[in-house]
Order: sequence, then C-alpha cells, then structure tokens
Amino acid sequence: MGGSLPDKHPIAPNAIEDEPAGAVTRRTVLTGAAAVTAAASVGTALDTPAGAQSVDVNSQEHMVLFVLLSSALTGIPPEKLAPGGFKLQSPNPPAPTPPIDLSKSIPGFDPVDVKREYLTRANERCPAALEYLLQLVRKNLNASNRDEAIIAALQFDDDDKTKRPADVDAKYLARSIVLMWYLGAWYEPTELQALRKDLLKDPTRSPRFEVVSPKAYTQAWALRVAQAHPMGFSEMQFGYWTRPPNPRTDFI
Amino acid sequence: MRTKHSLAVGMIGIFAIAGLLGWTASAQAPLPAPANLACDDDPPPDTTPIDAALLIKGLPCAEKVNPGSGDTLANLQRGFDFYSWLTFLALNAPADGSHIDQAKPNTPTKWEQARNFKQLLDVMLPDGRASRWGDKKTIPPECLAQYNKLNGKVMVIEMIEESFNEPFKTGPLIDQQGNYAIFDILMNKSMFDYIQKHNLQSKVGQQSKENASLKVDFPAGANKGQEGHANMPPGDPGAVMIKVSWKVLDAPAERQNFHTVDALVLMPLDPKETAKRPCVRKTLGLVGFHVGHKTVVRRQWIWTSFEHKKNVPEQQEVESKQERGPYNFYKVGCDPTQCPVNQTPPTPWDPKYKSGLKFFDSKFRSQITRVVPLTDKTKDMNKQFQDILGNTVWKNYMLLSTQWPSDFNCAKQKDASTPPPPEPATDFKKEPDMNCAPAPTFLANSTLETYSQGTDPLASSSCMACHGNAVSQQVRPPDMKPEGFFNQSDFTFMLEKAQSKRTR
Repeated sequence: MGGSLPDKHPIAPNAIEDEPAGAVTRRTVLTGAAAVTAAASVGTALDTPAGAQSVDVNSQEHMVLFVLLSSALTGIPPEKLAPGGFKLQSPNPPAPTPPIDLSKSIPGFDPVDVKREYLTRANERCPAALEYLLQLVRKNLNASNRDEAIIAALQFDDDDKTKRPADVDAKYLARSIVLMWYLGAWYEPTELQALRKDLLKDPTRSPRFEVVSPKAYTQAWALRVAQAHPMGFSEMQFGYWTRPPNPRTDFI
Repeated sequence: MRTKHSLAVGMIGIFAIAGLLGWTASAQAPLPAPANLACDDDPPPDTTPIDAALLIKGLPCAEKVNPGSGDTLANLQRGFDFYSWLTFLALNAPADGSHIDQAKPNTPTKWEQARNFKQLLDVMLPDGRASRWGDKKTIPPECLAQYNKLNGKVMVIEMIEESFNEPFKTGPLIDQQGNYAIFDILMNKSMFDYIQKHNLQSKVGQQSKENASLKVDFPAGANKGQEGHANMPPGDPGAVMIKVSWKVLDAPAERQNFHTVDALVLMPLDPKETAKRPCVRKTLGLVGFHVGHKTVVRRQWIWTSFEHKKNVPEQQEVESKQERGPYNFYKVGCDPTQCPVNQTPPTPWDPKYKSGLKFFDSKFRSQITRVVPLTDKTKDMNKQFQDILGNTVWKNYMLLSTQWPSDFNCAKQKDASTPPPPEPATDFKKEPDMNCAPAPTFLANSTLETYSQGTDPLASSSCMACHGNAVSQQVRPPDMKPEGFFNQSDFTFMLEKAQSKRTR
C-alpha cells in the first residue's frame, strides 16, 4: 500500500446521471438509493495501478482505511460502522490531527465485526481495485476534506477517455461497497457496470446479487436509516411497535 | 445460553417446593457457621494471579474489566471470563465454610442452601401466594414420607415441563444411560425481595392496575466507588439467577466425577395418569451451570455458562476423530446413520410414570456435539483455574464463555424519563439494539441449549437476544394508551411462571 497518487480530477458533470431508471420494486428502490450514493462518489484516477494486491484483511491499518473509505462512501460516521472504540490516533496525542498515525489508530472491537466480512469479500473478488481504493484513502488521510476528496476521485463518467480501466474498476467496486453496507448484499462490480448499459435496452433488468451472510443481512444499514429493522431480525425491546421509533440519531 | 428460555423459562419448572430453609443437600459434614453469600469487590483480572487465594473470594459484586492495549475485545473477554470463574467458585464453595479445594463430590454448595437461593417454584406458589425469604419449603405430599425419613437432608425437585424439555419446547436431552437430563432454576434474595415487593409472584398481582405502569427493573450489583453502590445494602450483589442441569447417576462409580446431590424427584403431572405421581430418590450429578447477574454498568446482565467437561466432544474433534470419551451425552464410534448428531429424540417427550426418569424408548441416546468450540484463551483460563482446584470434582467443570454487553455507553444507559424512575432506572427502550451488542454474539450450553447451538442470527442461542424478549403477565388497562404500556420483565422468564390458581 502506499504508492504515489495523481492530482484530483474534476468531477464529471454527469457522474450522477449515469444510472438509467429501471423497474421500480422495493429492492430496486433500495438498491437505487444506495447506488446513487455510490455513483456520486467516483472521480479521479490513480497513477499507480494497484498491482500488488496486498490488502491484508487482518491488518489493523488496512481495516482503518477501509472504514474511512466506507464512511466517505456511505455518509455514515466511522464510529457507527465500526463501533467499539474506533479512533484515529495522532503521533503525539493530544495534539490535534492531522497527521494521523495509522499504526496507532483503532478500528473498533465490536463483536459482530461485519466490516471484516465486507473487507474480505471485496478483497477476494476485486483485490486490485480494493487496493486502489485504500491507496486513495491513504493519500487523502490528512486532508481536511478527506471524504469529499475520496468521492471526487471516484466520480466520473464511464465514457471519460482520460480514465483507465483501473479507475473504472475502482469506481464500480466503490458502488459495490456502498451496496454491501446498505443492503448486506454483494453486487459484482462488473454486474453494476453492465447494468448501466443494459437498462437502456431493458428497463426491467434487475441486477444479480447475493446476501453476503446471515450476519450481513441483520446489519444492513438501509432499514436502520429508516428507523426500522430487517424482516425476521430485531434487537429492539418487546412491544417497540406500539411506540414511535426513537430519534434517527439513535440509529445512525 | 439463549435458547430462549434459558435461565428462566427454561426450567422453571422443576423445582420444587420443598425446601426450605433448607435442605442441605446430602448429609455429610455438619454445618458450622452459616456461610452466607455476600459479595466482594472483584479483583482486577489483568493483575491478579490465578492461585489458591481466589478460592476464598466472595461472589463478585460486579465485574472489573480493563480494555488494556492490543486486542481490546480479547482483553475484555478475559476480564469477564475471570469474573465468571470467581462467580462459579463462590457459588459452589462448600456451604459449611470450608474450602472448595477440599470438597467431596457431595459436599453441599452455597447456592444449594435456601438461605442463599430459592427454587423458582418456591417463589411462584400456588394461588400466587406471597411468601417470606425465611419460609420453609412445602414438600409435595408424594415426597413427604421419604423426605421425613431422610430428615430433610435431601434436595426436592418437582418436575414441570421446563424440567425436562429444553427452551421453546425443543425437546429433552437423554444421557448415555437412557435417563432424562433434569433442569432447575433459582433466584437470590435480591430478586425474591423485588418480586415480593411488587406482588409479581402472583399472576393477578402482575395483571393489577397498580402494576400496569411498572417497568420491571431488578436491583443491580455495584463495586465500591461505582455509581449505584450506595443504593445497595452492603454485600448485596443485586439480582442473580441460576439455571442448572443434572444427570441421573445410577452407577456408584460414576459419582466420583461429578458434584452430586441426593434428590427426591417428583415426576411431572400427567393428566392421563390415574396413579399417584412417583417421587423417586436419585443421586444427581451436576452437568450444566448458568448464572445471570445484573450489574450497574451491565444492565443487560452478565451471562456465565459452565458445564462438565465430559458432556460432549466438540464437532471438530469428532471430524478429526479426536474424541476422548466416554461422554455423558455422546457415544464415541457410533455410526452417524445409527446415532445422528444433535437430533431431538422421538416423541412422546414427556416422562412416563411407569418408566421413572428413563426415556420411553429404551434404545435411544442423545448424540450431541458442541457446534461452537471454546476459544483457546478460554481453554487456557480453564486449565489455570482447574489446576488450583486440587483433586476435587470441581476440576471437571469448564467455562464455555461469558456473554456481556460490549457497547459500554449503551449498557449503562439509564432511563431519562420525567419524573425519574426508581433506581437502577434501566433504559429498556434503547434502539436499535437494546442488548447493547452482546459479546460473544452466540453462546450455548450443550445441556441447556442443546438444540439451538450455532451462529444463525435469531435462531442460534444467545443469552441476551433470547432473554431480551422476556415479558411478564402485565396487562394494559383500557384507559392506558398503547405507547404508555411497557411489558418486559428485565431479561428473565421467571415471571411467566406466576400462578393464579393451583396448577401442580
């Protein structure tokens, strides 16, 4: 991890309009909402294609980077994605960040640890693109506008001739990561890329996906954002349905 | 531990009435001074050596854990497991005040004394009668003659469905001798007092208008210096409940490997039978031991699970043919086609008067494996504690794990309603997770949650995920808005057993 990174490219003007409308179902609505979030988050190429494929899912540093990436893509605070003490550490606390010392930062210790499943899934399916994305986070680690910089780097139109295949791969993996967090399901990046064109021909085309795991199903954020819970799983108190939901801040 | 009913529901049944002030399990050693079960401050797990000095510690008033550095989750888990071992040692220490490393297999323990814990059915009396902590146990008439003949020095267990059927009625557990495993549930004085104070021992009392707005909130233990400590009488650990599982030991040779009690077991009532309910005298060996303890910063309770180390092999040991039998609930070498693993027995499941505590199908034996293995760190801690227990039977017991609410801010959260509710003012309305991220997520005892082992959300055993759904028999008055009604029972199923008329 760690190579040099190019300067930011401007955000593609139509970057959030590259998703033709498809058939409207409950699933596609949720999918669409999350996909739009992802689509709004792609934008710049990295000079160094991620070739080493050396992301280590057991590395504390890599997990911190993945949580920061996920937070930037989903808009959910890192402490919520990685509960149990997620903390960015400076070399000389209490000196203010930046700089951030990744080796001392804590990725949280929640027993559910769904983030590890997501990092593992992305690393197994798209190791080069994942490394690209983590490099992007590392490059912007101490930027005051870190989240915006990450999003801008991944936000471009597929037809942008200045982009390389690695840039496009990273963009669609970013979408897949957003969908994993919100839906607990894995949408293959190539499937998402194909969907963009297929929907122009067949608006009823639905993307293929697979639920990452039973754990992922219970942890999907889409329903939590809606102050609800997945069908068949709830940790709320018996009788909660007789009351209005707690404030959204309790959920996100 | 989850099975949904575990401590509470589960077993509830069984117990009996008998007793009182005490049966003092078997007879053996004279009882000198009463050894009451007061709590102590739990020593810090990260700096306290595991040696004989721990054998005389009291019940922890609350946990003391330290996230330390490095693997925070593992460090905290170690702290809770250390707490669990101290709890196990304190509860199972000899009732006569002698040391546990000198105990004989049948030395009565502190938790078996009615001055320390009451069986559930000794609280949930027929007709919902109130009682006092010092009241004598009522011996079922079917057992009375034998009880008197033994001068009361015997445990009396009155079986109900929860005494032989596992949580959610998932089936009985049959040992390798063809006997039912038997379950029992108990509570300490802190829980008893709360129940009596609010008339919760009565179904009618729970359904009263006065209790319609009650948020059941049992007292919580606290260490010195912790918020909430001042609210507790000195030495009071707060609410503690126990669920145990027993194996019938017909062969005298077996008895040297278990903690044993001399027991009178009253068979469960069978409405189809016209004969008198049999009350059979049996030697029972301890095979499973659950403890639930509510503390001020773990208001979802701390859940401890022990069992006998020869109950079952781990599944991975079976797959690699590393079993070290014989086991209490598994036959080594039996072909899986003949002994399918982790299957419930054939029906009917109810014990039959003519068979006593033997299962009706004389050829059936449960073939159970542990689906989720113990962690290496838990195994290491078990060995350290077993090593200080001398040559006693207590070295044959092992901690499976401790489940605890890992979201600290969530776990200590108090109800901020106006006016403030009485202490400990637990906030039961937290969303989206009122269980505050249980760690580990799943925990099952092979004798108490046999058929719900695994790692499937909401299907596999989790102490908190199950007990968090426990309710009472409270009802909403017509003039109360639905959102104002709050039916929960603070992580115990015990209140479901309150009676309004004689049912046993």
